Amino acid sequence: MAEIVFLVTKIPCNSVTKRQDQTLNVRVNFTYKGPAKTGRLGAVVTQQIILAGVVVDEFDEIDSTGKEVDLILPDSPETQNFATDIIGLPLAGCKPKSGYGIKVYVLDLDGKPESGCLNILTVRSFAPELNITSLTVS
Amino acid sequence: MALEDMIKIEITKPLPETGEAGIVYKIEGKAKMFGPIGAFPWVYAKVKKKDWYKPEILEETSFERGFPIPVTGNFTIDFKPEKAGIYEVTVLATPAPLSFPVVGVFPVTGKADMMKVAVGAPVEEKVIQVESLILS
Repeated sequence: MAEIVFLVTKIPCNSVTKRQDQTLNVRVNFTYKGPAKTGRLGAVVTQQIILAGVVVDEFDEIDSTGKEVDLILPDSPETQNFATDIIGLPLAGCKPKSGYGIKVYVLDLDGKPESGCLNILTVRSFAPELNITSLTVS
Repeated sequence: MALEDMIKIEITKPLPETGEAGIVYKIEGKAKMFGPIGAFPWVYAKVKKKDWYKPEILEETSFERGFPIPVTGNFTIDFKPEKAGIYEVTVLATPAPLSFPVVGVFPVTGKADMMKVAVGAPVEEKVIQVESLILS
């Protein structure tokens, strides 16, 4: 049986630390060459799935974090640079830990090109932490 | 021997049956001379764009020059259809170079089988490439 392999192109990205009650903003820098076209640009937080020490999925999507925006591309006979912001990816569905990745994808443009980076997001708990530092008895 | 049979044209790499406008396709072949050795032939591809609504006399016809290699007779001709449509391409050999534009009838000393190519409109290139991400 034929196996379909989806490749995610690895791209540069900065690292951030966020709390679960915060949201993540993603600025996507890309180039485009082609006729005027509309499509969708999406971003989603991912995690690596490792079974018995073997990475079985580098970009397993955490669905609740996904967000898409419209992509309006002007006629570009030559390759041009563009940037689009995807604002407010909710992180409430992420457990507090490090090592999350991010994946962006384009829809409606002949296939679904995917790009992403690994280990760039740490999510911290937003549970209130009460530490008793000292006691005074009287 | 008929004039058209003096040069045997063998096509070793014919055109594909379908193509895309704006792309260069190469015809490769060999021109062999029979009988007394004379001047080496000039090889051309006669390109006719077939339009069903046009009578044959009004069809667009052009000639693409080939460049035979002396002794071996191997030649290549570039065929670059500019518009979508049905093309009929026939490789011809002549005893002298053609003047352009080609007017009237010129002697043909060799002729290969006609190749028919259905050319489609160019595929619009759409390339999007994500370069980097900035998280905040």
